[in-house]
Amino acid sequence: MVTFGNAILYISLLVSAVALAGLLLKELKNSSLLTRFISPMIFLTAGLLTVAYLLITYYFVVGDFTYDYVWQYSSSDLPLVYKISGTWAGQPGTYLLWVWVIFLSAAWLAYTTRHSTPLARRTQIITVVIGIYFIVLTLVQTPFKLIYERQEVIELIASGALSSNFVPSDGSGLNALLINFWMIVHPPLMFIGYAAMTIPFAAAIVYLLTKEDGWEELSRQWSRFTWLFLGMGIAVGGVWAYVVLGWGGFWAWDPVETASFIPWLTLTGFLHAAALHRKNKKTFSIAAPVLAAVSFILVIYAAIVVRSGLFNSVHAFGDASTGSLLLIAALIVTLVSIALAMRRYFEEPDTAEDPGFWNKTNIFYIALLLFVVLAFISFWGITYPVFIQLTQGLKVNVASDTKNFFNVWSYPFTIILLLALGFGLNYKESEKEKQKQTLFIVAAISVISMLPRTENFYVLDHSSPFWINEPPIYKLIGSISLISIFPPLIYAASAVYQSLAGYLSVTSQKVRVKGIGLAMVHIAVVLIIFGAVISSTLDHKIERINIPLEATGELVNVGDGYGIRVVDFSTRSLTGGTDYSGTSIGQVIANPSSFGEKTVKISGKVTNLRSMEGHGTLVELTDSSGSMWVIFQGNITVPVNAELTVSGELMPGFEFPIMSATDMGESDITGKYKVQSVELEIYQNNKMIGSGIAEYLEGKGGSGTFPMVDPSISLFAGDVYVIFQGMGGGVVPLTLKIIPAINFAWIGIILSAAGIILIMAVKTKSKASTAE
Amino acid sequence: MKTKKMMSIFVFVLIIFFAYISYNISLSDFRLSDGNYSYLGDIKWHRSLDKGFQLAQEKDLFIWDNVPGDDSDEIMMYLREDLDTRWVDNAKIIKTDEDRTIRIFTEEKSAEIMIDENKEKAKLKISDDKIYNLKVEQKNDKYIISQENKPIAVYFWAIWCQYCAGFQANTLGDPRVKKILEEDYVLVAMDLDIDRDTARKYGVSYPPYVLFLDGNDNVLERIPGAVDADYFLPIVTRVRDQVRSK
Repeated sequence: MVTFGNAILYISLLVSAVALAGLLLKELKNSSLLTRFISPMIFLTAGLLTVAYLLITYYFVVGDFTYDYVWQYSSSDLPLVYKISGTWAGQPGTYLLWVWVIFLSAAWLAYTTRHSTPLARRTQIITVVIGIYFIVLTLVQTPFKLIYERQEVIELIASGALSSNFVPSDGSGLNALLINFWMIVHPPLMFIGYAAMTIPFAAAIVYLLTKEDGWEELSRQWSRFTWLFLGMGIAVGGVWAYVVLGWGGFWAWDPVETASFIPWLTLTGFLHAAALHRKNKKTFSIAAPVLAAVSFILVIYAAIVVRSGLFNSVHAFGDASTGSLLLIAALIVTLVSIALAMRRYFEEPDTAEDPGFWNKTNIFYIALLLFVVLAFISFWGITYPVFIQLTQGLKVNVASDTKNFFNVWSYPFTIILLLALGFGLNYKESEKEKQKQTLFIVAAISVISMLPRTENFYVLDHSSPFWINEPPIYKLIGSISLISIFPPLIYAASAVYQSLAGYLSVTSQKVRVKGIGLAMVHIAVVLIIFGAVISSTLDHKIERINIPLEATGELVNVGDGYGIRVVDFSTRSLTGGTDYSGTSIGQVIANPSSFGEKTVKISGKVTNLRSMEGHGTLVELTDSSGSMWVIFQGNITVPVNAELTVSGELMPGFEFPIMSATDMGESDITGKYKVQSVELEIYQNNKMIGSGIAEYLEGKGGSGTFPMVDPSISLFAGDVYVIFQGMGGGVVPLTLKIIPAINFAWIGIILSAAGIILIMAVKTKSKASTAE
Repeated sequence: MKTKKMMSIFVFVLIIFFAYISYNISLSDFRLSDGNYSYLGDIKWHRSLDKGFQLAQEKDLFIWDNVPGDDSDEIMMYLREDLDTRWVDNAKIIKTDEDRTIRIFTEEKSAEIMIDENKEKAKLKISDDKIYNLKVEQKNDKYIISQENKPIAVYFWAIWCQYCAGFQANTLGDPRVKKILEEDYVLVAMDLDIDRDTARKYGVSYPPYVLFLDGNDNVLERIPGAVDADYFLPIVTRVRDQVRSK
């Protein structure tokens, strides 16, 4: 049976195919037969996909568990906002989101250009082709699959264990780690970014094919928009890791986060290439479109990394069914891009005179190469272990400690990139010699400052147990003093300042605003690198703190002059109120005969207790639906108001059902989301430096820590960060961290977002297009 | 144009160089697991739980008086298959020390099985200083040497697990812990990315997680999370003694 949602997808496939046919007829046969349908059909597809997305959201909100996807990623006890965010918790939903945004982009392209130029039309062809491919992907792994198509369910129905029209009473729930604010925003940002990359790619391919002018202008805002969303997606992922997962920082070089960082790097390269290309279309006439294509390929690659199940990651979604389709897409796109770029390369007459090494184009080219190198380091680091696993059946690590690999190799290139930033931002032909001198001095200072031996301020942490196992070359680079990051940072910062001053002296409002935006984005780089380096190396960590629950209210010394007071400990269910496991008491009372001879499990609060002089104890249990007496053999003592879960059989022959208990335990609410929270106060030298609540959430196949983060208001003082790992044996286990300078990174992230928005807000015409 | 071309070629060579180096470093230094074993925390773990069960059983190894002789092959087989001592293939086997020590040796390496004066206990010592306790039983004037029951330590890990790395280095890598694990346990490592079904069967939902089983698949103890060596050590000691006394 075709579900309603799938029907919408099939219709959108059909409708978009009509649009594509119209575009192709016009393009290849110059026939206008379907031309007037093109835009409406694209709008219609976008509309249909919007309906499809709203539909799946509706199923989540009402909890229609006949849909497999809803059943997998939701449950009725979730708050509304997490029911909505459940729509992008799994693969099928993210494909739908992705394809939806692709067609929204296509619709926007149709609306703004009306396909009036060949460039717009051809770009639209490629966009629609990609869009159709993604509709097919969505259909292969559709969110509108019914639960009756699930293999286990088919078997259960065949064996008669389930009736063919059964409806699951509840969903299996959202993973505990995904239940927080950041999960709500992180995936949409990511996937909107991925989807928005389609148009710059399409335009670049058209340019490589036909040398059509104006491609850069067409894709300019799109690429900035993609950069913003991808960047913010990555940043929000970092915040999520920092405040929720307790990974010990905002960046852990997990394959999936790394995979999304790679296209962002090449896209950054593209933005730099485009900046020169738009002034002189001969500059980077191959590098710019190639970088756009590479970024798109890497976006697909990122999706493969997330979804193939081959990459071992915290983001374990593992499902290979569409992984191979993505791989095919990536391969085709790669081959096409390489072929086109090669053709262009050999066509392009290499007549221009070589102006020597020191000129703006070359400086920018170095920057591009550095972005590519940094991207390749990340790409290689996540890729070759998988390659080895597939080809040789061996599992290998990239270094003794995974993050060391990325840090060691990226560090030298980051230094050079900062130097290039400092040099290139204000590069003027007239002041070339002076600027070169400054560069050499800074470079020399940077190299010298790699040498000082300090307690432990190196590229790699010398106190880590992994340090001794690293190979010589990693030890060599790992022994570079981090002092060497400061000269390039200062150099880059002062260049940004000078550049800003230069822009501010210009009278044109537009240019000024753009200059401010540029300055914000570039100073953000300095701030983020500074924050990342300082916060990850100068943090103070006290692990394995165990505070007995009896010590609640007391100030416990945890060493190094720090003290922690557990103010309160409490447990609650996520949705509020107490959820009990087992059958609800009301259900038992309403129809006792249906439970005859079967073991029933009920839970509730002890509301009454009566000893029966040698015949056991009667206990009244109450839950939200009713009360019931339970008889226990022998004398038992339970406090009134305690929560109990009891299994037993109903005793026949009583007017009101009474249960004979065979098993009893503390009320367990497993299968429900249970939150443990500790209220804490942190002291340093008997002065309170932070307070807040650290939580531990468990339920539905997982647990998550929600550290207490008491952010410092000043820049350098540290965040007070406490991870609570969940009660065990009457002890509150904690890890205390003081993380300095992290605020620099957050400010940097906000500045870079604001900066690119300013740049986008200023519409400047490229010289190439005004010349036309 | 020339300059750019040269820079591109330079970068290309650099990238190839980097890729080659890092690839080979991983293969030589950072192998985590191959077909049969995982190498975590400088300890060798079996990858198959079935193999683990097989190795954990109490079993008769050989009769003291039949070595050298009929049972020499049994010793060799035990060393090679169960304890993964590959060098014994070309080893010689003799009895010395008034018949109280069996020596198995090649030019470089040796192993010794020593029986105490009262012929109640035996020890197997392999050249890299690993000591395994063996059981001695007397039947019709013959001394049967057997392997005691061994507990199985099943370590659930994952390559992406940040805490596992520290746990391996600090807890499993603790010399006291490492010694007990290597000598008295059958070690099995389960990769949570691969052995998902096993994890589900034992209710293991996150790494690191150590599960202690006996040879009959009974769960003796669970240690979830990255605990420290001081917490870990008493438990491995107790579980070992518990299984031995059976």
